[in-house]
Amino acid sequence: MIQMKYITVLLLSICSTMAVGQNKKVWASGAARSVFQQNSIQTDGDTITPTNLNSGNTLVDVAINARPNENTFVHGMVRVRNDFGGFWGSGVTFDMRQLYLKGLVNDAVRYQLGDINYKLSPYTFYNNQEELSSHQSEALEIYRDMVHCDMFYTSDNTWRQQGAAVDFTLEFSNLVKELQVNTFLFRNRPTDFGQTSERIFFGGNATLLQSEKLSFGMNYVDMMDVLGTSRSNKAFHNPVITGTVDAYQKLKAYQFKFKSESGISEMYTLNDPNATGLRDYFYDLDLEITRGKKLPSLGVNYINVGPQFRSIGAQSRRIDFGAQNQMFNRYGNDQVVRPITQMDMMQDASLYQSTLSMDLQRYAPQYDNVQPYGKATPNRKGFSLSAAHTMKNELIQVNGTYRLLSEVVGQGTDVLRDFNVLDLRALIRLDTLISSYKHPLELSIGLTNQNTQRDVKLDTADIDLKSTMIDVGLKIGISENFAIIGSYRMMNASGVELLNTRNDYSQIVDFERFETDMKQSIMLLALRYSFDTKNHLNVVWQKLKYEDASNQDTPSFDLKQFGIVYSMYF
Amino acid sequence: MKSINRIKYVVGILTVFTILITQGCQRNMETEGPSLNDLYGDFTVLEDFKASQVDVDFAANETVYFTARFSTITSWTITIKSSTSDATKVIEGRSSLINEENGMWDGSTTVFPSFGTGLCSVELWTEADSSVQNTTVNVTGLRTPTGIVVADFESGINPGWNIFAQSGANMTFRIANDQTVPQGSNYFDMGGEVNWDWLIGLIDFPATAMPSSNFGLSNNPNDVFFNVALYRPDTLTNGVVLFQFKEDENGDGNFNTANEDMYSLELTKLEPGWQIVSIKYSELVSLENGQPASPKGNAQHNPDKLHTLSCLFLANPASGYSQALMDYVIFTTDGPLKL
Repeated sequence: MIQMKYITVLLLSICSTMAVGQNKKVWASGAARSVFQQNSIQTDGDTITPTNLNSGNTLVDVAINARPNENTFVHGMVRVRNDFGGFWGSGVTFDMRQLYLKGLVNDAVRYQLGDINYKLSPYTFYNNQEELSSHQSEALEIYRDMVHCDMFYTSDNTWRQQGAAVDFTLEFSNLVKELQVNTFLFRNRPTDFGQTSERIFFGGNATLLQSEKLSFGMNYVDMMDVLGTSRSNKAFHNPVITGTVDAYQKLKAYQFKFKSESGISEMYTLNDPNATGLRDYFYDLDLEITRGKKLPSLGVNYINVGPQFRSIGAQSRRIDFGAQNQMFNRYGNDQVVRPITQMDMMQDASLYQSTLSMDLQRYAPQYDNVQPYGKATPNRKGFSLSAAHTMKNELIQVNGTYRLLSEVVGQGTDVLRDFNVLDLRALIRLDTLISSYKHPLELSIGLTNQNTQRDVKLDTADIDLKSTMIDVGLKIGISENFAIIGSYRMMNASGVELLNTRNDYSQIVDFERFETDMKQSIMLLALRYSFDTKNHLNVVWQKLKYEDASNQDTPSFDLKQFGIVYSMYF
Repeated sequence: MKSINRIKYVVGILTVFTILITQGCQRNMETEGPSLNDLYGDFTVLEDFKASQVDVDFAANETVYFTARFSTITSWTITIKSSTSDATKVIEGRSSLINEENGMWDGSTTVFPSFGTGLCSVELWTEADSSVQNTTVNVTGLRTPTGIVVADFESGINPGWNIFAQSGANMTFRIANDQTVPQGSNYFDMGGEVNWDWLIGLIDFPATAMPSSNFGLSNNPNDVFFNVALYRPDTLTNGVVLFQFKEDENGDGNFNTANEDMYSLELTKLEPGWQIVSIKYSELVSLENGQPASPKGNAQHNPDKLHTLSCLFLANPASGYSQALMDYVIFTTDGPLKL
C-alpha cells in the first residue's frame, strides 16, 4: 500500500513537471489496453472442472520522455494494471516497465543505458519467432500482439536486455567506405553472493562496407560468469564468433544478392571437473535472384550447423513448453494438466520467456520439429529453396519455401533423421478487382507441412512424424472504420519421435518417446472498429477443438471464448 | 568484366572463410547419445539380481551393493525394507548394469524410521519387462552418524537455548514424541496460527549452549555441512523454515547485525513427511527480506566463527494454521548427513 502511495505521488509529480515544461523538453507517450473475456471449456464426462471462467483487466503504460539537452534522451515507463474484480486497489499493480537513457557523444558515438532491445545475427543473438507465427491471418494477431507487447518481442527479432550499448561509424576516403561498430554489455543474472556468480552477456559487431555492393562483418558474443562475484570458482562460458559476407551484383537484367555467415562456438565451464566442453562450427550460404517485378524472386540457401554448436543468444526459445497454461490449467475428472494449444500460444503470456536460457529448452515437436531453435538449431544441414512474387496489380502476393534438411550426425545410431518442410503463403486482395469497393477485401491462405523420418529397422526407435497446418483468413472492410475479420486454422500432427534428454552440460544422455495423433482447429471471428490507426476496439469470438487420440491421459476438449479488446497507443 | 571480377573476389573470400572454419574447428562426428540398440533392443536379463554380501555391519563402515545385468538400458528400482519396522531405502537408476557405482547401500534410509538390525527384504523392479527379482540382506550393525549434534531433543530443552513463540492460536513450540522420527524418539513441534505477523516462533541455539561452549566447526566452509530433519504435514504448505547462521567475526562474544555476516537457509517447498535437508556451509546465502543481499561483515563464510544458529518458523499471516516438525540438527564434515 505504501509502495502504491509513493508511485501515485511520483506519477503526479511527473505530470505536474510536464505541465510546467512548456518548452517541449518533456512529453508523455504510452499505451492503454482493456480486455474482458468469457471462457468456457467442455470435456466429455468432466464433472469436476468449473466450465466457465471470466477474466479481464485494464492497463495503462505511461511513459515520460525527456530530452534535457540536444544529445540526451531519457525514457521511463510505468505500467498500472487493474484486474477486474479487484476493488479499492486490491487488484492494482504498479510496475516499472522500462527505463533507459540514450544519447550521442561528440556527435560520433551513440550510447544507450538501461533497457535495450538488441540483436546481431541469427547465429549469435536473435529472438526467433515462436511456433505457428511464421504466417497467420490478421484475426489471430489480436491477442498475439498483446503477448508480444507484454514480452517486449518486436518484429525485428530483438531480445529485451538490460545493460549498455555503444555504436559508432568510421568513414574512409578510399578503398573502404565505412566501418560500423556496435558493442554491448548486458547483465544476464545477478549474483546471490553464495554459489551463483554474476553472469554477463557481451559482444558486438564490426561491419566493413567496401561499397554498397560488398560488405564484410564479424560478430562476437560471449555469455560468461564473472569470477569473484560469488564464492564459486566455476565459470561458464559460451563464446561464439562468426564472419559474414554480403554481396550484391547485377548481371544483365538479373540481380544477385549473396549473403553468408559462418562461425565457431564453444561452451565450457572452468574449474568444473565434470564439464565436457562443446565446440563446433556452422556455415550458412544464401543466394537470392530477382529479375524485375514481372518474374518471381528465387532464393537458395544451404546450411550446415554442427551438433555441438551452442549459441545461447540465438538458441533461446520464446515459448517454454515445460510451463503450464493459466486458463483452465487442469481439466477432466483426473484433473490432468491441460496441453498447450494454439489458442494458449496466442494469448497466454505466462508461457513465454523474456530471458535467455542456458539450456536447449524443451520444444513441442507437433508444432515444429525441424528447426525449433531457429536457423541456429544444432545438428542440421541441407538446402532450402524459396520463391516470392507479387502480381503487378497486387491482386495476389504469394511466397513459398521448401526445406530439405537432415541431421549432421546421428543420435543413438548412424542413420540420420531426414526433414522436409513445405511452407506456402498467399494474400489475395479481392478489392483490387472491384474498383468501386474502397475498403479492404482480403483472403489469406497459409500452409505448412513438416515431415521427419528415420528408419533404423528397430520398430520402437523408428521415427515418422508428420504435421500440417492450414490457415485461412478473411478481412472484409465494411466502412472506413469498421471491418469483419475471421480466421480458421487447422493443425494436425501424427506419428512418433524420440526427444532428447540432456544433462547439465547439454549432452544427450537418453531419449524420450513422443507419440501424437493430434487434431486441433481454431475458428475466430472478430468485429473491429478502428478509431484511428493506433486505436482499435475488437469484439472477438473464437472456438478451439482439441483431441489427441494417441494420448488417453489428455481427453478431448473444446474451448470457447468471447472477448472485448480495446487497445490504444498515444 | 568488372562484375565477373567481383564475383571471383567474393567466391575467393568465401573459400578462405570456409577453409579457415572447417580446418580451425574439428567436428566431432561420433553419434550423440546412447545407442538405440542398448535402449530399444530386445530385453533379457543377462545376470540375475544379487547382493554382494549376505550380512552387513554398517557400524563397522561396511556397505553392501547389488548387481544385475540386462541386454538393454532400462529404468530400475531397488527397494530395501526392514522386516522389523517400516524403514525403507529406495535406490533408483537407469542403466543396463547395476553394480557398486549405482547400486550401493550404506545403511541410510529413504522412508523413516531408520533401519534397525535384522533381516531386510530387497526387491528389484525393472521397467522394461515389469519383472521383480528378490534377495535378502541381514543388517548386523547400525550406522552411527558422526558430527556435531546441535540438538536431538532427546534430553529435553537445553537451558542455553532461547525459545520464543507468539501468543497466537494453537501454538505448539515444544518437544513431543508421539510419532516415528528419523532419530531417537523426540522431535520439536513448531506450529500455530499468528494472524498479525509472519513469525510464528523461533529457537536460538547459541554456541555457548554447546557442551564445549562452541560449535567446534572447521574454518573451511566447504568441509562443513549443516543438516536437519524436518517434517511437513500433508495438508499444510504455508510454512517457511528459516535457519540463520550468525557469525562473530571479531571474536567479541557477540553477533552484531550491522557489521558481521549472517547467512541463511530458507526452506519453502518441503516435501510432505520427514526429510533430511543438508547444505554445504559455503553454499549458504546472505538474505535481506528474503532476497539475496551483500553480507554485512567480511563476506567470508566462517563456520569456525559461528556464534548462534537460529531456526525461525514463519507463515503468511493470512494463510492460517501452519506446522513443521524438526529433529536432529547436526553439522557433519566431508558430506551431507545420511541417516
